Amino acid sequence: MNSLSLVSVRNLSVDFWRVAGPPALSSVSLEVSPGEAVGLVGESGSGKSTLGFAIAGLLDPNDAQLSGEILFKSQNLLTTNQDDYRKIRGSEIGYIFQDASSSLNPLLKIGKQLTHPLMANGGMSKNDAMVRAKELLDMVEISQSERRLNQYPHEISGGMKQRVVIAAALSRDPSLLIADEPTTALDVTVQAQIIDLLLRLKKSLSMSLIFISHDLGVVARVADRVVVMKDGNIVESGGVEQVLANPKESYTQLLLANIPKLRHVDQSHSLSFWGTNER
Amino acid sequence: MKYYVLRITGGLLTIFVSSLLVFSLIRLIPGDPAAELMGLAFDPKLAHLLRIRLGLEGSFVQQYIAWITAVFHGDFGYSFINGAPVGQEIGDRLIRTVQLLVGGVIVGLLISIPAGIVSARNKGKWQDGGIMAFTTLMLSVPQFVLGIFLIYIFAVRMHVLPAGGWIDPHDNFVEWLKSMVLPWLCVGMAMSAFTSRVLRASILDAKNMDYTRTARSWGLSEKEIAKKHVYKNASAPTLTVVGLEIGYLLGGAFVIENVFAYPGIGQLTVKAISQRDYPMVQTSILIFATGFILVNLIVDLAYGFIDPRIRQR
Repeated sequence: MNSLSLVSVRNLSVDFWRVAGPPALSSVSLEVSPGEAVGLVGESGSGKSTLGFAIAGLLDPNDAQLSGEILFKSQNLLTTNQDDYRKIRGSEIGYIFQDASSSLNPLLKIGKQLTHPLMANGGMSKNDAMVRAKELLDMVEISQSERRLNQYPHEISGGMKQRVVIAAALSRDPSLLIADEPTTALDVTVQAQIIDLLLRLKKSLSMSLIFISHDLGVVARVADRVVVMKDGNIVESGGVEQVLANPKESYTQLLLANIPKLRHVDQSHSLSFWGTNER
Repeated sequence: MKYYVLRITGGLLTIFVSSLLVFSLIRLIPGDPAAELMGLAFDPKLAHLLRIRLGLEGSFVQQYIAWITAVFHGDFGYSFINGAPVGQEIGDRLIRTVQLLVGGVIVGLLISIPAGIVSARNKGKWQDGGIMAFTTLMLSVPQFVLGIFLIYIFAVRMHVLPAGGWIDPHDNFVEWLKSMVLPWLCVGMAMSAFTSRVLRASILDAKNMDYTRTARSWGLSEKEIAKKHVYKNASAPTLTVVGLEIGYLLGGAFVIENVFAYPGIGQLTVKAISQRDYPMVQTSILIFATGFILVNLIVDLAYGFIDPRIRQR
């Protein structure tokens, strides 16, 4: 392993108590360097989300048994007590979930929810947090941020909700952002905007990014390195060009072959699968 | 806004329909109030005169309009049995029934809120098992059995509380309180069973929602998550059930008041039905219907207060 890794997952196995059959992850290893964007790809059930959850400590120990090591800044999170893990999660790891519409509490105003991560663990005062919440909304390019603070989640669009979730995830300047299918539930045009935003923020905040997706087109745009997962194992990994242009594993080839057929119909429109046109 | 207007209109309509229903149903029950009153001295001619005097002659529609017009003027009619003004009699008893139900609901909430929270927090442990077993028992025992059981324990065996009756709190507050304990417990325990189960389920649900997971990813402690998210979100479905339970209790008042010889509106209604005292029955049922609708209206308003999506509909 290299000592420069921000995250270093070693031989991580995850087994859900209540699910019969093979473990969700079996002896998976993964390195993420500071500033690096790693794309985790694979079909549903391949374990990519489980890996993301495991790193962020979002798996309930009552549901899942974890073994191996997850080193974050050289600290093994699996031997860290729950309270300290929670604090690390709160300050160092941002998480963006797949479905923005259910990621926010429908009964609380946007502003109030944004203050939660800021005020957690005796962070900021309520007033400071509110000021910062507005700045965060500006940062994720939400218009009329002042007004949004007083709106409820159902009053804004899905794309805007995902921006709010991103704002909350980035509120404490994390060094690692885990984005779990952040655009799957969104319209294609909105998807592209969100991806652009994520890329800009990643650069300006110099964080590492673990980008979980089954959409190889999006991953190609976002990631420096790609890790392909299947049935709880890593089947292939390497630089994004290397893996996607020249897949060694038959499974990766299969995934690539299953990118929607539209690309074959009209090559000139293939760019839409790769996000917006680079200008 | 539209939501509230719709609710209130719907409520008024329901009161109207229920007034119509009770008015016709009581007349469909076999038995002639005039014959009932005259007993062995029954005489067809006199009975006819009596029916005129009681306002029972004329078509159904005429009778109904006469009655409902009087009600709108605050005149609920006079008892067939003793000629006393119905409004007066029911008013006195209504206060007592309200005392019974409000106290009972408070007791019910005092039991069910902690019970629901404790069992959700200790899901699968002995506390949870104990509370769930208790609520299952409460759900399966009819209210009158529970009432008789309470009377047997606290009045017959231990002699600490009166077996029934009601004492005016202005005469003797302590005695009033003592006379209320068992009825309140009976109402409260019956109500708490379902409410605490729903609260428990709602808390567990809210704990598994995506937004709770989001809050967890922000580094909030489970305590903060419970305080900021879980309880608020769990309160909405629980509130609905509390509303339904109170409606159910309004019906239960008939039973409980009879078990505890409690001079409330329920006891009065039961007696009035058997005596074919139409004005009394009509008015008290109208009061029950109005109470039921009021409770539901309050629940709906409170629901809108909790959930902005409903408020803005």
